[in-house]
Amino acid sequence: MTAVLVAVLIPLAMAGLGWPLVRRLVPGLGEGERLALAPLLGALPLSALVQAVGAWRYDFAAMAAVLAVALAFVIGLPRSVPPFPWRWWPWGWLLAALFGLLALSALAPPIDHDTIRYHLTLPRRDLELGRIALWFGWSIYEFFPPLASLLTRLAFALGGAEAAQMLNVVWVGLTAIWAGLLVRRLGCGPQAALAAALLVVGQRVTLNLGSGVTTDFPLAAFIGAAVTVALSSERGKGAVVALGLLLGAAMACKYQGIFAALAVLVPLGVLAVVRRRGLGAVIGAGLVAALVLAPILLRNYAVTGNPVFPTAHPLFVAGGLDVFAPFTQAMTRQTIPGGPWALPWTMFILQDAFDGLQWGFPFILLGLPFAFFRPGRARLILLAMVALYVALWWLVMPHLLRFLLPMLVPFCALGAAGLAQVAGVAVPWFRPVFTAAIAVGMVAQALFAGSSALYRLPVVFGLLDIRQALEVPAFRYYSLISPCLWLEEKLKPEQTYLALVNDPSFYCPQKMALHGLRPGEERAFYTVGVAPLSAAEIARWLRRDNVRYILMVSNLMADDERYAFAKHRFDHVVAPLLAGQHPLLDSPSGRVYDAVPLIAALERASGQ
Amino acid sequence: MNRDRLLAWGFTLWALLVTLSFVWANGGQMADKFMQRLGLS
Repeated sequence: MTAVLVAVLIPLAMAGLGWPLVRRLVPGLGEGERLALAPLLGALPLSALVQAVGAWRYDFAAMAAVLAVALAFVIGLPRSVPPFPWRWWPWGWLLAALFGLLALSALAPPIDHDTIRYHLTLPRRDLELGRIALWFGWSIYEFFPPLASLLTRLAFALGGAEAAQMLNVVWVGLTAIWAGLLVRRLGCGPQAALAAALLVVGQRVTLNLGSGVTTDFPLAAFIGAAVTVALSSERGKGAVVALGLLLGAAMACKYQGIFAALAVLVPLGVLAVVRRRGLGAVIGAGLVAALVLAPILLRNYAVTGNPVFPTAHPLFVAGGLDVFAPFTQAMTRQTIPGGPWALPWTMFILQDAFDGLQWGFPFILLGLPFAFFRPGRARLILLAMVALYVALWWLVMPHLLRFLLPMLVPFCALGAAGLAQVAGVAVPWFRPVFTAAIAVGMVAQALFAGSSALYRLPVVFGLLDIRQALEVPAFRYYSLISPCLWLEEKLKPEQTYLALVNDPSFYCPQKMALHGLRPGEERAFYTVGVAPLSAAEIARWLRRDNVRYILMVSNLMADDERYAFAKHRFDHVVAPLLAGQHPLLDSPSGRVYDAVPLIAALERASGQ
Repeated sequence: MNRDRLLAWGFTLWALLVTLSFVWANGGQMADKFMQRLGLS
């Protein structure tokens, strides 16, 4: 239950740190809004504290000290929460059930692809190193904006993978709360607020990724709060700073936050120009947001020569590789029927033309048109923000529906407002029709929820062990569960291993993996490429670094993100030599070989 | 036709269109995946 405790204490600490800012900046917001804003504003100082202490020392004791210091601020929090006008509405029960499912699922070992590839692999590496590192050439992912991943590191050091996953469930909760609060701002009642929160939690992407580790839900929560603050009647300098901090925090979670911040600010700016007042506030919020992001851009520029590394690398570095080219080329081969004009339809109905069923049943589309049956400027501004973000997404980003998540709160708020509009219709025959329409969607989403839970819950309840759960086709090649656990058990201190893999796995020891770049080769790796190695050089390298085992994944080279990590450098020389050796471990996901005969074979091949 | 009737008919037709289109576009694949997940195919 450490995971639950950590996931309760971290948001409390965030709220404690953020409350003084809330009191000072936005005293006129509603009580619920102010309370929900506190953890978001507090995430900024807490992540800065984790970075400052973690750069010096990253382990359980250091992170416990960070959390203890932050928790001291909890004393300033209000003693009561505003009452919610609760009734026995089914939406509330469904919401509670889905959160229960997400929280239980978060107790399972990580199964999500990116959680295993880097969201938890990097914290594990840093914990093994004893400090939060920024290792140019190790991975591209440590150069992504770090706000959410620093808080992940805090949870991971204190409670392991389960705590980090449980913290993501908390971020889902904050996103859902902001959807409810935004719907209230749109003039809807408490039932609609619950429905909006339910729409957030009930999307298939949430059911899948809510109990993994992501940066998408923190980003969605920040944008949801920023939009709500922007639509409130708060107009003072404090509100400008609060809006800027929220947009800056969104950008500090993920680069897509930059486009989401633009999508929020541009419609506000246009409105200010038309009304001839308020433009200074919009510019001010933009400047505050830029100030929040600036240290991250400067850090990346200093280390890599590219402020937004690894994206747009050819723009900033002469001869720079388009790091994501293999991936984006694969994405641009998609044909989206109807092009950009049909997007409002295709992105909800033809989800498979993008990156699969991310929404599941299109509840948002079902309600969206009806949100505008009730006149309201706020709804039109919200629509303009969403439309601008979707346009930027279409023009600039790979067409993954998951990259629309920054606008999850506005999407769900408008969808819920529309459904609430329709639910109030007083036509006798309509009630069963409406209920049936919603029920069909709920059945579809329940199947998705069950499918996701079936992967995780059997391990939580001890019906499957971790090998049985992950050594299956869906997960085996990126979890590498059997070889990783074998290495974890067999490697002795001071021994290392060579990994011939497409991606590192969270389940493998990280510090003991041989790093594939020599000092000074990092810039070449992301530009002209590193020089190939001879068999003799590899043999010397393996001897020098005391390599004891070789891990080779079964689907080596099935890799469309070749530059995400320093990898594949040894493959062409080593893999053919391993073909003649008997593995120490043979599993469907990969094999482990003894390094001693390999080094001998390398030396024979080089004539030594 | 009053506003409530307009909304009721509008939503009914829209829900039919959205639901049938979604099922037409994804139903087969979803059914296959769920059957596979349950080990029935």
